[in-house]
Amino acid sequence: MHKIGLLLTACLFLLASTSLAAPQEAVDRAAVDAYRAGDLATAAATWRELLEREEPLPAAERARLCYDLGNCALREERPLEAVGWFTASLRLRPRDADTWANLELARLEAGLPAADQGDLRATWNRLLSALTPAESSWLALLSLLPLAAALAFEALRGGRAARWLSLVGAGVALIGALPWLSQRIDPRFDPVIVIAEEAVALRAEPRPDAERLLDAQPGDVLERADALPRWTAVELDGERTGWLPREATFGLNR
Amino acid sequence: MSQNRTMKHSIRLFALAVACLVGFAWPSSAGAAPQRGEPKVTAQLATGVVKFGGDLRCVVQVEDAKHARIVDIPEVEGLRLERTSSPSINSATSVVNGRIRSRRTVSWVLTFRPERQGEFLIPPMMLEVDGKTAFTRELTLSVVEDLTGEEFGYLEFLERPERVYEGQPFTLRLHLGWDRKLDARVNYANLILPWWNELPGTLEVDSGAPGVGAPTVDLQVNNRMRVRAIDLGEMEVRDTPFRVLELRRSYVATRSGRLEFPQSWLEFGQVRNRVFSQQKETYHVGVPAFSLEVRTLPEAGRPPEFSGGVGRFEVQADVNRRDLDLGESLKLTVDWTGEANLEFFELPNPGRLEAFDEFRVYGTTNERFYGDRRRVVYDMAPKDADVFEVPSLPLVVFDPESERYETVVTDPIPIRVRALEGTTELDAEGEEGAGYAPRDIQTRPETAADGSELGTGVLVSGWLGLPLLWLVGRGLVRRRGDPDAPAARRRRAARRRLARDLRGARSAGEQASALYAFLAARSEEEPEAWEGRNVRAWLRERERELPEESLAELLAVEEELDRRRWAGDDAALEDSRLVALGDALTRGGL
Repeated sequence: MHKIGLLLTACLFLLASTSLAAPQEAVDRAAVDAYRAGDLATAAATWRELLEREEPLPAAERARLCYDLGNCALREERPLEAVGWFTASLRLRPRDADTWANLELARLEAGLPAADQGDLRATWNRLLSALTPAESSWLALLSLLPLAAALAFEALRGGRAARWLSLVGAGVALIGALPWLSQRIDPRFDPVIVIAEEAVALRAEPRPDAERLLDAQPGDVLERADALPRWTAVELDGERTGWLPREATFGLNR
Repeated sequence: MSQNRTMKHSIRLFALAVACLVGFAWPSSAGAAPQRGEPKVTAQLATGVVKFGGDLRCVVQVEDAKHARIVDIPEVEGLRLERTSSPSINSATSVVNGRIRSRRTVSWVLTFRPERQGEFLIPPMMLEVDGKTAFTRELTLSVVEDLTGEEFGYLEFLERPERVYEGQPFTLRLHLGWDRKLDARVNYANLILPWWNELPGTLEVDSGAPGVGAPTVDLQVNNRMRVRAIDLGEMEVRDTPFRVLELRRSYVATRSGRLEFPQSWLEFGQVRNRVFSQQKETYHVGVPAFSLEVRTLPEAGRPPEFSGGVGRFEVQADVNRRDLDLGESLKLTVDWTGEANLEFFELPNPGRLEAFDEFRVYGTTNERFYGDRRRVVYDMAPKDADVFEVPSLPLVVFDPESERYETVVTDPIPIRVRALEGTTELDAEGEEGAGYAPRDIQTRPETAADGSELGTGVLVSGWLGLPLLWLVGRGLVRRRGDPDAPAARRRRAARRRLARDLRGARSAGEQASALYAFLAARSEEEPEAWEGRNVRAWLRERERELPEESLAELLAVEEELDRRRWAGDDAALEDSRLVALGDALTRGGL
């Protein structure tokens, strides 16, 4: 009796999950068809609706939708918006080669410098940001294993070799923790990218005639501090905030 | 394009290797050049040599500071400070490269009176500049009874512009020397140049090294530093043969106003070093103070794309290939030369020029200043097979001679772009050339579930807990002795050594030695201790126990080995029996 009950519950759960997934797939299919037919506005609106649904999609799926929306923007000759979508996608799925390729293309179209300049600093940054926060936290934990083994060996057997192994283990643990540490040191909780075509004034208050503090350049990534229907506040130096017109910014948390 | 990718990949591999090597030791790319707008403190004497009885003026100046005051003027024995003027404030606003820039200069005039003859060293004066402490440089001064010897010496500025424009480089050429007849007697020469390193409103730039093979001599300046001068040999000065040296110094004026050059002196002659003193017999020759006008760049006729370049510019350009396939990149190398501020002008960006619309501009791959030229390599690719030349690249500069803004352009460079073989009509119609099309949308839904992120607490606990666990475990293990001690290591290796010894043993005697060595290692004794030992009594004495079967087998093996050694033919037992005995004893706790 108990077994039958369990089986029924499992079936119901399966039915419920497929009934949720099936419409989503159908909607996605419709968006793909619209895109293929050249109806980019419909495709973009559909994908955007999927992205903003209440029940959250997995990060990888949201990354895919951002990527597809970036393609729509690119084809509609809005390269700065495409840069925003591709950047948002890479935050969720940092190693996707297609997204990187299209991001660089969009930046080129928008007249921005390449996201990956190919120099030492850019390579280092890309190396550190190649993992999602979850992956980097697991890597940081798993990289402790060689250190744990080396320390256990040192405790039980002692000796110079064990001490060297412990040092190597500590080095491995440190290297493994670098991506996680770098994400903790420079956290971006709610970043926005500037998608205005020209430099846009950061104002002291959300008024067009307020004091101009600085100029934000297209492609600048800033941390959002507050938002109003027509204005977005961004952090300037940790203490001050400046206001940008909302249409000049693109939120990267999707 | 593929070459580019390969190169980029190689660079990345190299960069990765370097990154792994350097770890956190990130090489900072920040240069050592002073930042514009930082306060600058200078102190300048009106002259470096003064006749005894006369007064001496010293101007202390602070640029680009909101608040400044003199905190301390050190006392110098034999040099009396007569008075200090109240601060004089001078403000100016200028527009450079379209940016409005304000400058504020505060200056004081200090008047000293020497109370004795000789050499004086005025230590750094302390100032408070925008809340921070700043110091002037050390100043040197000679007070002499009389300034004689002008007829024997020679000092002259050969190139001394009357006026320059902001941003314009200028060179000072100073010729100095003495009568050739005195050459054998002259072993000392010191240039007293109060403006040396103390010229507010200028940036010193490379004045060019002397030509290869040009004879040079080290010359003393302001009693403390040595600079390299060109030895011009013998020259006619005032119809008399003189030995002449040349010193060059190049500057870029950074703000409008007047540049003051106080009186300069050459002191030369003979110095004899005694045991406790120095005898000096020198002459002095000087050139009067002069000033140089620095003019503001005219606003009239200034194009918005003015690069900030000031001077006489020349330009040359070349490309690395003139025959290329569509989509391939080419490198446009541009060299700017001439008497101009080559280091400081803003480079033109072809990506923003209409003439380069038919090119995709990737940026610059190399940018260097070589002293006499600025070289930039632009990376670009033609978008269309119809492109037949690399257009002229303009640079808007200010020419101080004509006093006008002018455009320096490169010559157009003819090229041939071949359409790719097999290009379809669709490709040809598309706006993007081959290799630039965006990658297609992704249509397969991603089903991978989100990985759960570990909390900071978990990781920090791991990092802190692991060393703690290690310390605790290490302490517990070492209560029973150091596991790395020789006896402990021998005990652990006993089983392995027994097997190895038995493999080489050919007789019962050799097997007995191997067995005793094993037992000794396990009990941390010498092998001789086990020869003829009453094992049961030894175990009782040590309050230790062994399984009865193992003990019985040990006694039986010992007896058998003894019998074969002393009464038999010394034939060896089977190795496996002894190895099994060793294992049993180890497991039993020996």
